[in-house]
Amino acid sequence: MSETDGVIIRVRGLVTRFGDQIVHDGLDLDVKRGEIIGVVGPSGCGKSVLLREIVGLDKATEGDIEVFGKNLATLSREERQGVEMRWGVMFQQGALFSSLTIRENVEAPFREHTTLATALVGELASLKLVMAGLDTPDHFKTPGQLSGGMSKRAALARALALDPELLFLDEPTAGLDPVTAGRFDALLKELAAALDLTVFLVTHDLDTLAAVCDRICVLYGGKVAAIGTLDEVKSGATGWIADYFSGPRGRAALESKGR
Amino acid sequence: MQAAFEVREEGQETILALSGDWTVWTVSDVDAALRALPKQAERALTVDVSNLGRMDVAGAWLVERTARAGDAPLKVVGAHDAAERLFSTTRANARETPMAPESLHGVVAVLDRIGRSVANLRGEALRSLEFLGLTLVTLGRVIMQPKKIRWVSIVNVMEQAGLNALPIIMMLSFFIGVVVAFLGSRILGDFGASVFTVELVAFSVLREFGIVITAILLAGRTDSAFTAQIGAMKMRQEIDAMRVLGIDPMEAIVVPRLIAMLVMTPILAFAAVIAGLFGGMLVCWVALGVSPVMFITRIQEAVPVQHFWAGMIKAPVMAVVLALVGCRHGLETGTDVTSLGKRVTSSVVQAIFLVIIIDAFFAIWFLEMDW
Repeated sequence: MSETDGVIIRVRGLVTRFGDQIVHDGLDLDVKRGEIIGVVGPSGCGKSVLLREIVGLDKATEGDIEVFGKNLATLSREERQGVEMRWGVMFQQGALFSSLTIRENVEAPFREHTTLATALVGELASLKLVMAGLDTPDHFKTPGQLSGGMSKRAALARALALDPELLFLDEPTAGLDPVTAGRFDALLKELAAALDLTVFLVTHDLDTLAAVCDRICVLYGGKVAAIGTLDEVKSGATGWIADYFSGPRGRAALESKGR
Repeated sequence: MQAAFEVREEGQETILALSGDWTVWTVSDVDAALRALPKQAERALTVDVSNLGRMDVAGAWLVERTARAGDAPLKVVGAHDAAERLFSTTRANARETPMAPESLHGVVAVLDRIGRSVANLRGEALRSLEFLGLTLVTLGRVIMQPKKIRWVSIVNVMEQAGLNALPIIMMLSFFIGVVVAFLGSRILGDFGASVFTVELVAFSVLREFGIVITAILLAGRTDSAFTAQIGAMKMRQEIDAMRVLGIDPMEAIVVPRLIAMLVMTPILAFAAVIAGLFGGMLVCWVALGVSPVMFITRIQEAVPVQHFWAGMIKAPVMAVVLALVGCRHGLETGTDVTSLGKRVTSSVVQAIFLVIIIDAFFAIWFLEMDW
């Protein structure tokens, strides 16, 4: 099995049940190499669960998930680790290791998986932190000393540590003020272009969708209710999707993009 | 494919020709060799990327680090789909790598930590006393207004922290009784006084083991749970939420736990005493042929009831220590995970320490009072 037609993530017939509650009900999704895809949907529609299932943290009830053309469930431990090193994941709360400084946080994946010299690891970790927008005086702070925006930047730097091809972000701008969130969006777009990343982005933030995403995937009722560019999704919108994009908050965000 | 490079002079220019893959997985091989190259002072190297395979930020950084001179952009020859983009990104974000702040090492670090914790002792003692006072004031206030007593919470803690600990406490105490009786039968038997094993078991279990085993087990089981639970609530700002809603955390969290422990610790200690005596009784029966009836009769004759009270009177004191140490450390937890771990550790250590110290004080006091 290998990656075909530039599809980096392929989800087929995904069903997720928690007891009686059906979260995903036969969900199909393709993510193409090089795109930034934004996954939206009402609270509790299984966006974060989908992300967790793709990276193998949760197990789906039924269905197949292939990443880089490989089905994680069937891989051996070593093969699986090989796949895991090709992606980076950034969690909603940052999930920085609180006993380490933020540079040590970024150094952690290098120390675990590469044979690089200590000095070089330090250089690369600092480089990644600067790329994520944290300048050198902050590199030896501990996660407890950082503001929300800085934690997210540090978490992004750690997700990017081993130069992944694929980046998963769970609500990257949630809880940030609009200015900081806007800067984070810009940073994300810039890094995705510079590092040739494929980005799988779970978000509620319409500004982020409008500013960075190439395609938008709307999850509703356990399925992909709509997928396409922002304009495509918006034009065919009915029901919840229409409410989402044409509600007062949605309109404001789209207008500010001049659409 | 392995990363490799070659440096050659071409006319005025020094060319760094790259070949192979330059990624985070491969550059380990060339790192040291590149660092050993003589540093270019004023003239940047020209980088030849025509034979370059794959490249990522790690590879680009190594090239940047080696070839850079001043602020001039890197001169690149040859065609590569990613190299120039990566060079410019790396260049834009390259900073002088900061050195980790000096930290203490070895003996000095150990001495530093010891000094700090000694200096900290006074503060800890003061804060404990302050917390004791605050709790007593709150307790007094709550008792004056019985409507404020949170019965649901008290009963809940009584079940979780008290009742659920009953089986393990009884079992441990039972085995302590067994061990003491065996020791007694062996050692006293050497003097031909094995009949005094009954007294040995009764004295030690009634006065010491019943309550100390209970208190130490509760320190490991309940006190740590108090700290972890309250600490987690503190981290998730639940304590702050209580404060702004006008709910006093001392009243809602500390007092119910204190009352529940005051009720449950004597009961558990009593159960421990019974289990310990039962263990001793079994051994006396099996090893010495002292029947249960004789065992009980002998206890009634030879062991005055004051020994029972000498043990039980410690129970409320232990209850206060356990509840307060657990709650105080929980409430003093900071906002990060590490501090929760530290707090739980010091809570348990402090609780066990205080339990033993207080027990020793009681022993001395009882000795002087001739009880």
